[in-house]
Amino acid sequence: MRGRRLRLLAAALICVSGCRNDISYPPPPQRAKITHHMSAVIGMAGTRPDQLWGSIVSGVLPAAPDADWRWVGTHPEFRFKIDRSLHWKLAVGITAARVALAQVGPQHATFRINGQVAGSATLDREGRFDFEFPADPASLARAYPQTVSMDFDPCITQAPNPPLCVLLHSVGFVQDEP
Amino acid sequence: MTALRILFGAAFVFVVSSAAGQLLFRALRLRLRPYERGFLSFVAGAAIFSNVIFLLAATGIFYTYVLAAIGAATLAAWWLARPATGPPEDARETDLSPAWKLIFWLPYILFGLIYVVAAMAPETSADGGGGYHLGLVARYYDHRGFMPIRTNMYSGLSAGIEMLFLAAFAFGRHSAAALTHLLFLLALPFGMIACCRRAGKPRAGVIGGLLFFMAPVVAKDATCAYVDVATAAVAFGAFCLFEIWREENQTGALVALGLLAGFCYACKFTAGTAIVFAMAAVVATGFARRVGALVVCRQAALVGSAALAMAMPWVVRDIIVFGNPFFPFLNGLFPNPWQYPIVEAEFRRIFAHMSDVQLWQIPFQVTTGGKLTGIIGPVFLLAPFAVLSARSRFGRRLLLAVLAFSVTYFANIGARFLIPALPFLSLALALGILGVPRIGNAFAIMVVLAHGLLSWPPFIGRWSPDYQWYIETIDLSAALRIIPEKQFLTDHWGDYQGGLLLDRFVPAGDLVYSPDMGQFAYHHRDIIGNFDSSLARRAFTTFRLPSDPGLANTWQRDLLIPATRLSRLRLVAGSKADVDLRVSEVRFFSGASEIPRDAKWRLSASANPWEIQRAFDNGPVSWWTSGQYVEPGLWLEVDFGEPVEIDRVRIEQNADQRWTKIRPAAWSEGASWRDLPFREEGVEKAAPADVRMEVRDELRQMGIRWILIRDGNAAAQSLRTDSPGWGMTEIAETTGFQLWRLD
Repeated sequence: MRGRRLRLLAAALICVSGCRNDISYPPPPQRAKITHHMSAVIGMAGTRPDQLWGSIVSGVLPAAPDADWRWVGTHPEFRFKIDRSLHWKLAVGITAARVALAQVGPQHATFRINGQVAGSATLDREGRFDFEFPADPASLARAYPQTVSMDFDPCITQAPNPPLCVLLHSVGFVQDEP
Repeated sequence: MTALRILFGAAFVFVVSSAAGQLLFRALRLRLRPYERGFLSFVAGAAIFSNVIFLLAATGIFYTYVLAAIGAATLAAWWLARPATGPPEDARETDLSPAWKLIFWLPYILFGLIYVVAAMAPETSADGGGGYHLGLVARYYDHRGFMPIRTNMYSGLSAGIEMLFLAAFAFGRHSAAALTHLLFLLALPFGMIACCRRAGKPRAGVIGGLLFFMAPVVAKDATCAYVDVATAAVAFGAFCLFEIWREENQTGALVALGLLAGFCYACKFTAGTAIVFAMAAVVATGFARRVGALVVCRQAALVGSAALAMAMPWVVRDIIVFGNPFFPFLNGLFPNPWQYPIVEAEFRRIFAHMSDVQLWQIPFQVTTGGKLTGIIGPVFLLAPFAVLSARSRFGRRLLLAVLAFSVTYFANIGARFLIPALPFLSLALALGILGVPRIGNAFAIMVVLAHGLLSWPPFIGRWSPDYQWYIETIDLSAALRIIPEKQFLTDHWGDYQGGLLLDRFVPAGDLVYSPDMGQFAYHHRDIIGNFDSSLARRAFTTFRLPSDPGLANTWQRDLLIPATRLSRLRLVAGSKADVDLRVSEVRFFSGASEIPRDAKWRLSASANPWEIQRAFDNGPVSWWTSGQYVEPGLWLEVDFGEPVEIDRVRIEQNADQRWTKIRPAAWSEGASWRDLPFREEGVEKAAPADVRMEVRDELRQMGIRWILIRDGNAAAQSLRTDSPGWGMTEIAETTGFQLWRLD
């Protein structure tokens, strides 16, 4: 009797699995239109800092294992290929290192796009700084690919080793509101 | 040490299976001849052992120590129950002369040694070591049993042999599984000889056994963690048991026959025909003996019940996990959210015409040409000689078995899909050749010699067309792990390191979309390809949207109807088409204003109702798909909950859908659906300048967080040159692969 029930149950399971369910749903939450902002930022993690649209040119030391930063010298330079028809902000993430501040005191940083100053800052405390400076369309249009350069002063100098200024996490452009 | 673990893993499966088989035969009081016992014990015991492992996996207690305890208990039971002396040899049996034994053993040992070395080498085969066979086994092992993997349709396939792989994997990992598969090939010729000895034709067993054993595609398949050769062995075991029952009328043989026929389904869905044919053969034999309808029915029921006991676990599992007892097949009959019927239909279409090979070209391509992924060897062009075997009853039964196990072949004409039928064809061919008057023996030996020379693995590459599927690498250093496995895999398999990127950079639980990653067995992340599931298909279509105007552009179709108050409206497909029906958005208008979507509405569809909300979500790159080819009468429906006045229905579809026909129909209360008069206006609207971020968002909405893509893929170049436009960041790369994170 029990075996028969089990067989019937198995048969019913097979039959039911073949039945089309009357499945219906209410309208889902409506998706709002999202305005996307492009981000052409290269990270300094050891995996892949160089991209076809953005790369290190000079002044950046090799990555430490498992670190998302690299030491940069007094004049690091980067190259980007970004769409000049869009509005951009220059975005830079750096950390003022305790060791540097202890040795040389507050540091002055200047950021340039194609040689034109986009912004500057004083690094007077240790820790992370995330800067965003509007990118002047005229500066962006001066050259293609665009060159982003930075100047730091003062820095730790240990000749014959290259100078050590700040820890760079990322540099690039993020799309700005028109 | 690794090599020993590999050997131990396979040996464990062999010994425990053989012991379980002997215990089964004792329980069934089945008397076998000594020469039959080894092969039949192994295949029948493998069926039992496979089901035991299924139980362990289903209950989540697949631990190595549990497995070892079960193995030890089986061996102890076998030891206690072993008979004092074996039964006497049958006086009618004919033995082989020393010359014929030499003819068998020489090639068997030579080829067998090469096969063992090939199987012990690190597993890199497409479906086996690389793909789903061991990919799933590895995941079951990690998880201590089954877990639903609904993003991978292969996880719905019956996996009787993979359960044995799982046991071997527990000790020796991937190569132990491949070696376990090889066990079936090493055993099968003995089964073929045994069956022929019973029929009084042992030489046919030698010739047929060697024809099968040396066939290049058989050798390659058996040395990988595939399941075709094991399925062939199980099918042949079922045939042997039928022969035993037919000759000796032992009821135990009927039960064992049923078990193996059912296990055929557990091994490979397409071999499930064995159940039908086993029952049919028993019924036909019963009627031929005039034993009475009741007896015949009882015998057939016995076979059927035993078969179901082996097949049902997989059927029930698929019902529970996928809602389709035969997943990933028959999705049209058993609709479910996990795989679109259109994918199944496309697969069927592709595999039925693999490499554009026409029906009449199959004999050449499958034996010599190699366009069907492997060859069984040019000597099988002599297959018409198999017809000569029909002069004997045994030969006729072999030919019927060829038919039984090749009946599903034309659904997938790849050479390896002939393997389950090949032992029978080999024996029938051997009988036919040996039956040639006067020169039969010499002819048969010449055929085996030619087959051996042409199939000798190092020699195949010299005569066969390029891109064959055969044993290419015979590397003893790799087999013994003198060359470390990682080194070998890195050197010989481009996908290996690409897959390992996932373990290094992707957090556990994150879903990865990879259009072309073949490595599934050596990493531990969740990965979907292009067609593995409904989700994978959606990801594939969505990802190629930016480069395909047919998908990116919108066909806006307005159905203008006389202002009508209605409470339910259907949009009904009006014509057949070789595409799925896709609808991005449906909007209803009364006059100039759109009727706002309301929580009271109920949305449904005659096909793929699970995704119907995608046609009403206002998403820029989401759509509902019917998941099946457009058929007249296919519909999607909106129940407004109350009468609303409508004079226009706007349907937005991918531009490539413009040729589909859609008509509106309204529900007449208490009556039926009636078509509404309408006039159609359509316009193609260009896609926004850049939809890549929307595509990224849609992929994220599907749960995908990463993309692993091969360098040569068209989208890979686009990602590399303009990843900011995609909103993705490249996290890592290795030889041939890039790993991108969806930001």
